[in-house]
Amino acid sequence: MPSWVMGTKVIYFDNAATSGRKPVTVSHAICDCLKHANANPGRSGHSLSVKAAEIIYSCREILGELFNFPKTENIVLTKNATEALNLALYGGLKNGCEVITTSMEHNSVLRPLNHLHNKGIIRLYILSADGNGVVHPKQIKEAITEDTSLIVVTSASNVTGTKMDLQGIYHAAQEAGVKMLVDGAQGAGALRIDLKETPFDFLAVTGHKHLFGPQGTGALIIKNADDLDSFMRGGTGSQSEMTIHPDFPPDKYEAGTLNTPGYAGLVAGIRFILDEGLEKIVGYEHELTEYLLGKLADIEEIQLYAPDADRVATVSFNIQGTPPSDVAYFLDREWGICARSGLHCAPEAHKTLGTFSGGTIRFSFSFFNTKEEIDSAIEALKDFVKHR
Amino acid sequence: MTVYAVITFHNTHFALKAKKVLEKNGKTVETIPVPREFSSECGFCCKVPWDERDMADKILREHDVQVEHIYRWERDDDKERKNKFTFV
Repeated sequence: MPSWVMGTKVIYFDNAATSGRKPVTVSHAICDCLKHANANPGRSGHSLSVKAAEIIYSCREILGELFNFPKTENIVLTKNATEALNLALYGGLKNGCEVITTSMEHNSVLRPLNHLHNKGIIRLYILSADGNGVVHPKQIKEAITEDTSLIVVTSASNVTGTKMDLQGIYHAAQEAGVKMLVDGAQGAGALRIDLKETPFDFLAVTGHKHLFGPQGTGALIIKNADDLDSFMRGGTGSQSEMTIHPDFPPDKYEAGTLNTPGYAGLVAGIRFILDEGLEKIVGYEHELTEYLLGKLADIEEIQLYAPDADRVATVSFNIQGTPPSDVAYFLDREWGICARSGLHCAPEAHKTLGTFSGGTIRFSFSFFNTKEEIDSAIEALKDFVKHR
Repeated sequence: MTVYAVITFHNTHFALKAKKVLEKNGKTVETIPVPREFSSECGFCCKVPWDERDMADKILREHDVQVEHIYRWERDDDKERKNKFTFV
């Protein structure tokens, strides 16, 4: 299905940044909320406030269903994965903590960690990935010391799409008694995450990528709320007689009015995934990715990164001898193809791949993309190579 | 006069969880603003018939719903003019 911008058909391949097309039920749910439940959730006892609170409740419930996590009060709603990650890092890390992470992380992980490191609060170790973007559980195991308190790892790289061996890393962490925070920004809705099977201590997700919600939605799922201090404090609608912040979840972590219309949309987005079936969505996106990889292999000038990675539907490449920004500009202006070029907010990943500081061109698919769109993109790349 | 049990919670998350769990178990339950005589909470709580309070409490415990308090609430019947307005 094509997207349209100002009457022009566009092909949207930037779903790792924000999923472009949403199920139609998402915008309907947002409008319904604004029309029929536009009150403050959890602050009053009147009917509309209860309706708004029910939306918030259903959002925790459906996130719990998707990730197999029934303790829904420990599903903290945030504005995105970045806020969820910051909550986990600033709320959980104490003076003297040692943290291990990987070179494939997004700046939403690296910047808070480096900030804490540079302030002398934590010691940070960044493990290098191999050419396929993989950090092996064995590397993690070897890096853990008796002072290690947290491992932070992405579910999938936003540059190469490489899936991390979350289960293997979880077992390494478990063996050493170290907690684990998973950045699920690229993985949630793009691969299976079952918190009953692998109960990570913290899972941060965003709503606006593969969960089909609007921007401004996300969550942090916390195994044990005793592990985490609050990050922000303020109004919650509970214990209003007290001037200190409540210490029970989710209120402990949610200060101020939540984005109710946004979460209404997120509920509809996740409902779509559950109704269609995650396996079907993941399978189709895998098919698109393999199709693209096969076609890219036919163009001699294409340099593909992380060629043998087990990946989500995200692929990074370059056209030899050409800055990726030139290619992205050409694709957009001449062919109406939206793709992202540059460093994708993950400088260490590009250092690992040898693509710092120019970066790469990235195509990232969703359930709403088609093979015909990929055919157009291949034609466009060939056109570029021919006329550059 | 009708007697109700007013069940209060630490937050609206548990109030809604309670409503859901109780309804699933065939109980009549209504969410109401927290009566001022019991608490200064801003949000809402659950109201069930007084005779069903023990059963409700048991069900909620079984489902890990954290109850703050259960209060006895006596209401003159003429004050109960519920369902006058409905929101669609």
